[in-house]
Amino acid sequence: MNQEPNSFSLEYNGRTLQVEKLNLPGYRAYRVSAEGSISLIVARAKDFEAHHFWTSIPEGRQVEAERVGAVVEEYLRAKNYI
Amino acid sequence: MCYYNGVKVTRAEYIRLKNLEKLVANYNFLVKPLSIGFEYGTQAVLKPIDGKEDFDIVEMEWGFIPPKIPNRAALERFRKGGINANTGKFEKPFITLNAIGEELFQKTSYKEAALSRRCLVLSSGFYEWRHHFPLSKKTGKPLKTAVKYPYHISLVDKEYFFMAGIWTPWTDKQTGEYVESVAILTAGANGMMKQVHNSKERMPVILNEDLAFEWMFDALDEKRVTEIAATQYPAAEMQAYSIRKDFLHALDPKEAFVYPELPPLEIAA
Repeated sequence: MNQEPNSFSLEYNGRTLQVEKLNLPGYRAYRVSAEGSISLIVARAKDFEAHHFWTSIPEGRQVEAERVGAVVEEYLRAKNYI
Repeated sequence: MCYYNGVKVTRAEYIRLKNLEKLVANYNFLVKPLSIGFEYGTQAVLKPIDGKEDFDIVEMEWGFIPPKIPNRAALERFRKGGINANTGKFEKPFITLNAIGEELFQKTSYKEAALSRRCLVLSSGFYEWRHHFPLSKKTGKPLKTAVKYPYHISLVDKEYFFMAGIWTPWTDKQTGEYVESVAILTAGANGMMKQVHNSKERMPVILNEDLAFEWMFDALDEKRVTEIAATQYPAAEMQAYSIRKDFLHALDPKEAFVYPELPPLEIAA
């Protein structure tokens, strides 16, 4: 397992996403920014049946959060950070 | 159960996620390492929004200010006591940093707040003084005067936790200044806190997420308020260690400090 950096960038659909790890108690969370877009904070939460899901903090951008969260998670796994 | 972003989550997860919302809003006052009660500073408080299962994180003045207090000067006298200029008599100070959970409904100002203005005080830890009576070198018996050692207390594996509080609005009738003030509820000490805060054997009312949710959002009657106000958080889920006596001025007030002469705490259930 490699040491996860505090910030990194990744390519998604031809755009560069800037990702910053947030130190929030009890949650894996990231602030994701892309040029021309409002930054999005995603956190990995647990649903009622204890399954993990990505959600936006604050509420309101669930569809984006699920998509962006999955992209970030895939990147972290590929780099052996998690 | 609740829904967060349309996904069904437990009450505990809901309150944690809502808490994250406030944290990411970058409230500078959340990063204070310690709050010192007798400085009557401010506390980060989760205050319910009327009619919603949501809350604001606000700063409140620590030390419940009864509505009868007309202005800051009177409040100073109320808190510190002193000679009354009119009667010439000494008036004792009133400490309202904490409210005794078992007596909430015996005091008019607390009663109203307990029924309609409940809140949570956000904490990452607190401190208390342990009184230790060293043995006399002459007699081998404990001395009558205690030596006091400060301890830092927190919850195992929890960076933040919630203490039950009641709050009240107050306006200085002289200046028009408006503040909201809060008192933290206390209950009888559990096995660990009996050893740490052994002079008073009390501890703050710490609530798990489910009880915290109920305390803030549910319409509670006097009986249920009293039940929750008596919550004694389990000793097994708390941790305490001694810290420097000058911790208030330390760069890291929570840094552990071992006193060779001080017996360790016994493991408490």
